[in-house]
Amino acid sequence: MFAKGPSPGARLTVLALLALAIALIYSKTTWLDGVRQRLVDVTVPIYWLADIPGDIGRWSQDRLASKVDLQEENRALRTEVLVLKRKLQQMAALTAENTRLRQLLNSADTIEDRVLVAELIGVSPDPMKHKVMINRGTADGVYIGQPVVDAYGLVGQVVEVGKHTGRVLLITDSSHALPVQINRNGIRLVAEGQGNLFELQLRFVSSTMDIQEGDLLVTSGLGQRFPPGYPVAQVEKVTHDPGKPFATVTARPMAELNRNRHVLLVFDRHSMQDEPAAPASGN
Amino acid sequence: MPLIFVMLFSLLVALLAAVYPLSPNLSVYRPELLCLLVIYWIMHSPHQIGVGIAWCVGLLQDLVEDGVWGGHALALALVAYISLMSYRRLRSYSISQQTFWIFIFVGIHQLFVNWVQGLSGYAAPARYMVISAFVSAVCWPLLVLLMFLLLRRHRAF
Repeated sequence: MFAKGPSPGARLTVLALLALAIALIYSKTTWLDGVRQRLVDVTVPIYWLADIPGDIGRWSQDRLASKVDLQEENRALRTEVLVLKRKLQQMAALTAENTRLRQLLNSADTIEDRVLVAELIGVSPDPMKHKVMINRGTADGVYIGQPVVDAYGLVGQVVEVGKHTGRVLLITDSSHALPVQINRNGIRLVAEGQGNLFELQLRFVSSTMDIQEGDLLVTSGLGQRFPPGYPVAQVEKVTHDPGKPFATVTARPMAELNRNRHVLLVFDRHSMQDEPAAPASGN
Repeated sequence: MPLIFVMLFSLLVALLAAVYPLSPNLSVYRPELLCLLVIYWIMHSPHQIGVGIAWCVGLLQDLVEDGVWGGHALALALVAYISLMSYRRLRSYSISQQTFWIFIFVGIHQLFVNWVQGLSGYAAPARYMVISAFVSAVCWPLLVLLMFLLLRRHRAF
């Protein structure tokens, strides 16, 4: 009541205007991007700290697992390795054949991508915002725009990176869109995030286009961001509305966006050589 | 234990709770602990905690949560102001009446946070705000009880 300095009302007015100014600068300009990049290494460890109880839970689960369970799991994994190895045998022959055919066609060799495993240390607390924090940063060679995949498909791309941590924007975030291709016939499309972890929407699908439920969508490599050929999503529903110029097509992401603990950072030669490239022109 | 440590520690715990990893379905039900604590500490010691500190706490939450910076700062400063103006009345209320007012306060907080988040296209549907305000209000009696037990020597109400 007898406080010194300006009244709470005056303080509130000044601080509210300041907060609004910061909010406008943050959302409408890129002036704060430098500060954001520098703060990643300060703020992301807080996610790591918050995840410690979960870590302890998982650790004790690993420790206290019964011998029978472990043997069971071991057997399942062995079987899986066997199955995968069999596939790999064919793969070697097919890769060689593919390279020979490509040489015949005089096209560039496809380069095998180098990958790095990263662990998730946090997810964005806002349910509308699909971002995850990973425990890799510039010290591991991670760069902005780097594609991130999991065992089943494309997860997203790195948008902010500190020295030892980084933030990944998921393909389902409402601000994310990426060029894709139907695996069956090569038609190029754009898949947009909807702010729903289980749904992508395809833009500008004309009603006459050959697209069916169950079609696999893969990255097309246009836009120079994602390497071509990674599975993105499976078409779930195609709705033709005669009153509208385009069909409404929804697809379900292949990657397990809500349950993976580990993701793979892909070092794609093409996108590494390029400078933070100009936005893709309308292909 | 000096009061200042209790304050800082409680704010740190609330900040960790604000980013504790939850699935998107569950994180709708996440209580706004930082907002509750700011209201609590203003009711507890209105001459130490004010609009300025609330604003700083809000900005810290913005930096950590990576939303639009300034959203929580604005909302918490506003809630702090309302609490400062009404802390005498709030103290004299029964817990159930307080809980109702907390629902309104957190609702205002959510409204402003969401308005600012909307600047970058991440506005949440209205029902998320109501759910969050409701869950936070339910947490209020628990918080008051916990603090009553913790602050043996510093009880203010």
